[in-house]
Amino acid sequence: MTEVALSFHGVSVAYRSELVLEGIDAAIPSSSLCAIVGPNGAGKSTLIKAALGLVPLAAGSVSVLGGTIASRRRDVAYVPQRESVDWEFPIGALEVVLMGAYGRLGIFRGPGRAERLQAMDCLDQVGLASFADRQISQLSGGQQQRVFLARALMQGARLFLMDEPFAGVDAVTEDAIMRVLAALRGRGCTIVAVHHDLATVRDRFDHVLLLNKRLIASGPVSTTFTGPLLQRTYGGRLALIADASSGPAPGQAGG
Amino acid sequence: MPELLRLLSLQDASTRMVMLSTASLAMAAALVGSLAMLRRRALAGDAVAHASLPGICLAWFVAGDRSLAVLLLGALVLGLASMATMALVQRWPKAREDATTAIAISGFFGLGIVLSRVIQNQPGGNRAGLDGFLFGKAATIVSTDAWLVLGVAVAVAATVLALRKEFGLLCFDRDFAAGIGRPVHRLDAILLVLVALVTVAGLPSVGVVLVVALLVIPPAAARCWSGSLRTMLAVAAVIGAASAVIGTGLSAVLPPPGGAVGGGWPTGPMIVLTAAALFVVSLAVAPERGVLVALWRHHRLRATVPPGHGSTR
Repeated sequence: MTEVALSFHGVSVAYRSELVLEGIDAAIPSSSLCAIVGPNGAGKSTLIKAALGLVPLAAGSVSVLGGTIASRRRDVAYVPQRESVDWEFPIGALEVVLMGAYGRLGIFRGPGRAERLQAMDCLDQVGLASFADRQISQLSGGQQQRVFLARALMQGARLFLMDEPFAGVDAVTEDAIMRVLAALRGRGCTIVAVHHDLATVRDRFDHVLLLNKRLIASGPVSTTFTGPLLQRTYGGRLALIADASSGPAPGQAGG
Repeated sequence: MPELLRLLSLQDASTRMVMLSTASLAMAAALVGSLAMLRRRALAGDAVAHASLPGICLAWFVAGDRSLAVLLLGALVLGLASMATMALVQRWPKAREDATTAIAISGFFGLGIVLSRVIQNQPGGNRAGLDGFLFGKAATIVSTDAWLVLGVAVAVAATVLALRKEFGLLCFDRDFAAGIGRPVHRLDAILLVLVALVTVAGLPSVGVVLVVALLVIPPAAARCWSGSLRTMLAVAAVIGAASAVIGTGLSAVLPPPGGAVGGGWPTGPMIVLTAAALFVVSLAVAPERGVLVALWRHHRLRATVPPGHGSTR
């Protein structure tokens, strides 16, 4: 049996007495690239936040790398939605990446020379080495997304939780992010990403979690990312589902 | 102008003390205000300020001792109460933050005006004292009170500087901060308490109505000059302190508006006007983000684009 990186046991989450996640049971294997797929309001971001302990659980529990999130924070990297922060904030790209070191630095110690070198390396990995001093407000959406990824790399984690890392990015960024994620998986890291583009799920991910407040299905893309299950996930609202799920021939799929 | 010389050389001990305490308070307010602004809590200070009026009135009723420290303690308690009220109302799903803030500001201020009328109608209810809190009266601050203000300013500034890395993270990306296990609720609460402290400490010199300016204008001006939190904090602190010194100085040395018989120029408003002027200058001439630079770049771009491109009108 494969090792499990992240598992949900009967997880329910409520916002103001309304259940947004209900009885989620799922296990995501180690060294996998897992997509969380579902319609708007399905609770995808909430599931990620539940894994990070950012929202209180109404029921159930989450197991992160075999422990509680509190005991595994140093091994978990988080990439929030790009729209969740103010990109007019007075800060340069390298300083954002350095925030990835704050977790291990503690509250009163600031980043030093070693951290700066490492942050430069992380920017280099996402193809932004020449943008270190650039104000984040002057970066394109795709570059901002890559800065977020570089910050996650800086965290030196084994599990990466990403909220829509491909939302509204250009082709260059898509390639850059995919290369980094593939390299991470090659080193044994697990990546869990909220993903919206059904057409690219087969190419990019090997595991999928279909969500619509309840868990519809969780498993390898080849057996889980299928027409009937997607119809159930989206409640028959998406005409293109058949196309997306039949997609390219299985032999072409990366995973 | 011997008066100006005396003021600038700070020979007079009480002037020196008032100037020092007002300048350091303005500096602390600029530091806290920068964070509050980046955290989108710029108006929290205004809510505290307006709630401080009923607080001062209640302290006047409750305590026999009517020293500044006691009155300001009352202001602080009600200021924090107004913040708590806003936080509670915002749990209601239909609450809008701007509306909630406006309700808190006007509601508490209305209560303050009513209570102050009750005090004025009482024997010994000294009207002038309350007026001083409405518009500030830096010139009449006694040196013990100035020490109190100075102490608060130093404590607040030290807290901001010690926690600036964490506050920066909180303001930029609260979710990420929570994700690495930072106590974001506690940090938010500390920030709001700091806002309340500088606001209340600013009341004697600038007053209820204008004190929010110390929290908002220097950071807004500093934002024009800075590309990092560190520079923004430094520039805001300098602009805040300069506004306090220049404003206090102007109100002392300018000939009084109504001739010798009338009152002098009000210190608090002079400080605020100085800060506003520095903001306008910053907005106009700052490199990168200044209006003049933008106009010049636009002009140069038009000059370099060959005719026939773009608009032909």
